[in-house]
Amino acid sequence: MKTIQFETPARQENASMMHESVNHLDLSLGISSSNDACNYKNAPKTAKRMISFQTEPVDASPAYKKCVSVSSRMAFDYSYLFSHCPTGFVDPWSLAARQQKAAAEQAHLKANPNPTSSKIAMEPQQAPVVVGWPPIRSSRKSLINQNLTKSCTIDGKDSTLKSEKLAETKDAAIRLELRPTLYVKVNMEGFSVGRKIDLSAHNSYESLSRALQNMFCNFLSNKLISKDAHANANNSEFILLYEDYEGDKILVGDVPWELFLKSVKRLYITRHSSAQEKAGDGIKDSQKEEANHLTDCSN
Amino acid sequence: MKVQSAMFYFPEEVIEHIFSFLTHHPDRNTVSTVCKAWYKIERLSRCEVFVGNCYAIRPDRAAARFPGLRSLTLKGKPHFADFDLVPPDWGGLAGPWIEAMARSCPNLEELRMKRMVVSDESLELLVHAFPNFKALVLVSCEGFSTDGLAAVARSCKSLRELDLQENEIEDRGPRWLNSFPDMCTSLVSLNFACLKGEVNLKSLERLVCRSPNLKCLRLNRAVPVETLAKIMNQCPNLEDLGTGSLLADQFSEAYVSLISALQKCKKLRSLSGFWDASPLCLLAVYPICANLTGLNLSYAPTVQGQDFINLIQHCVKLLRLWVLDSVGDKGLAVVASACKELQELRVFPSDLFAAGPATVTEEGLVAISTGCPKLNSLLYFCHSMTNSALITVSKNCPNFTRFRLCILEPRKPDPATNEPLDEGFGAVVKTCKNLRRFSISGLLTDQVFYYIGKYAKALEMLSIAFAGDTDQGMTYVLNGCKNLRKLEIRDCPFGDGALLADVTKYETMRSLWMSSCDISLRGCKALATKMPSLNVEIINEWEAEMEENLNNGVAEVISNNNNKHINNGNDERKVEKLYVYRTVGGPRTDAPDFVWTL
Repeated sequence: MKTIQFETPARQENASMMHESVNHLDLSLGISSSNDACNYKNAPKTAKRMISFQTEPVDASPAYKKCVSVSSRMAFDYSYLFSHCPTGFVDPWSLAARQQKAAAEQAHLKANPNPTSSKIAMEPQQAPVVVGWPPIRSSRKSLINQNLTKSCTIDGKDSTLKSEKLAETKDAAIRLELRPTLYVKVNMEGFSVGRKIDLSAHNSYESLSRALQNMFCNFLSNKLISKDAHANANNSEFILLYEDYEGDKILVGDVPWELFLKSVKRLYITRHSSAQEKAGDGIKDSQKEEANHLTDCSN
Repeated sequence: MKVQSAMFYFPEEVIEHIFSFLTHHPDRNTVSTVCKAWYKIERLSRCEVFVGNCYAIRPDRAAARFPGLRSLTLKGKPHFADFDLVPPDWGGLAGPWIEAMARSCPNLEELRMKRMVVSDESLELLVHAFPNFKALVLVSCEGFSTDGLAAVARSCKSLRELDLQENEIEDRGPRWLNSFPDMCTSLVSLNFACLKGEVNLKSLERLVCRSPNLKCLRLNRAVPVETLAKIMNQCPNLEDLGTGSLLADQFSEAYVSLISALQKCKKLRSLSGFWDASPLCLLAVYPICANLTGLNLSYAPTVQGQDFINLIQHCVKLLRLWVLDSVGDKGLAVVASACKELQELRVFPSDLFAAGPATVTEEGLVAISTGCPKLNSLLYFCHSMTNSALITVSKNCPNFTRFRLCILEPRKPDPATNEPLDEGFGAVVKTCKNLRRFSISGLLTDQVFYYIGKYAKALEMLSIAFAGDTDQGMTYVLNGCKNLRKLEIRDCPFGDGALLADVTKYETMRSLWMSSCDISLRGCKALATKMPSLNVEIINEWEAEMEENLNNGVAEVISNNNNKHINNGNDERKVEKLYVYRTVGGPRTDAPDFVWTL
């Protein structure tokens, strides 16, 4: 079956051209992807964050510098950005750039297939990256995503090998364009400004933890946390909590990932010691007394 | 002469009485234009108002004109907002309308809104300002949470209808159901199927127990079979049921009680929900199928194959069927043989990529058209379609009023002949004289628009995507479709020539949407200059983000002087999204930064 490209030729051209510079913009575009976790370290901070946290970009990439200088120019001349099919500079924050990034990610995935997708023997399907197509509401789209995830994880009665492989490519493609997003606020203790992270871009606690570490290592550049991922995993300085729809703060990691996604509303990163203090408030008085009693006894 | 002037001697009460027989909005609108006296009588006696575009008139003016208003219907965002083509914060705010009504129309009882942004505060105001408030229907709305629902539940003394369809509701917990006061017994219709979170099951049971008039109840996915069974036992007069999650074990008490409960509901005519439906729970539904007129399985991907066939065979009186394409051509063939009275069919995609073995094709549609000649409303998603199939379908079913076909792959030709689908869609407009709503897809040239312009005289709404070759296509439609009210176009090569071909036409229409087409700023400016009675709005999303980033990062403040950007010189720039609508309210005051009114 002949696969037909959906993107207009101009856009596709730009997708490949923009691939390199787009990588630098991972962080600024806020699209977290477990495949590209390493890019977070190299990603420049955007102008917004630069002012908020009063830190200098240590290794601002040329792409970023160009962005800032162009943006000050943009204050007076928006002609570049108006064009529907730009052949020149594309504003990194534009909708078109995000679409191109999605296309670039798709191309990236195909270029570097992970082991599971290499099993796919059938003709690779070009995932459509057309915004708003097909014309179905987001409530129905999320139903389709759920359905496909189920067919991936459960050995259903009707699933043949082919449909499983289909589902794997779809899963990857869906993440890029069609998945519903689940942005939650992340607040780190001691900082009034928080971040937002898209939970549906992750499929496990490890992936989330890595993304959060990369996201917040900038906050603590002058403190204890290093950029080394391994050190962070063992570092017990900080713990991750989440707030569910009832308003309770709960330690992340107890429930299966899917269940976690359903109930999480916000995330908090707090220091281990102060969390213990706060935990103390939650304990019932009798238990507290009992704990004190035991301590007294041992003394 | 004498006869005409005789009308003026009728006392106002008589004329008012005569007007009370006019319920159709267009008739009432016409009557109000006859003379000042009739205008005054009509406006004071008007009970229902329908506003198809909330920006077509200022809320204050509408409220002041109809002080006796009891029922208001409002529509906000353009239709393509359903598919994420309209940026968030575009507008469609319900707040100004509710405030205006609160000031001038104390008798308001019903409010129906579609694609509007409603806040919790507005909902609070709504229930406090109108003592007789009875019915709230929100379709595809957003901006509110379960706290707002709690306010509605708590304060409405005689709430009859709370209908939430496909809204984006922020979940702040299940406590809102508790807010219905104990003396609230007036509920007739409750639909919270779109709520994603948990609900308080005990409160739900108690609420149903004390609502003897309940006719329509649609639950959300969080309601298990046990609760459903209990509820069904309490209301045997239910006519419209939306189930919760239909997952149950064969030997569980819940399953057994569900079967007996369903059998008692002799009046049940419409079923929906069916989330996670196990084949077993479907068995429970068989006894009531024979009386069903409406069935919605479009949220139930688990209902397919033989399960679906077994179920649908019994539904001989079915008028309305919504399914997923996983039922396949085979399933549709069974529908065609069993449901002879079918009038409306919607087939939604369950799989957006390759056509698997169990999705629908043109064969399924042809089978339906052969078996169900009364079909008048169709929404069909498929992976491919042929001209001959469309021609056959239109011959079999000449009564289509709504025909929407979406071929999932843009610009896909007829696979049998590799030709465009012009002839197929042309056949539909030629034979279906009453066609009011039309959506087309696949590979299409200007020819299909020639047919539409020539034959689709009753057409009111047309949706086009990835179609056409030149400006002539759009011109055919604008010139030919006399009753056209809404035209929405995306990704078509129509430019300024088409846009400006007949500018006065837009005054006869409610709205025009064009996105990713070939129009330039110059063309839009020309339109705005020639037609001051239209709002010509351009949407630029990057503009807003850029301004936001700059405002935070760089020290200079970008003044929100849109004129500076619009008149920046280069009018040849392409416009990404255009929304044009007629209005008597002037340019809107709540337009966000990224919306420019020319």
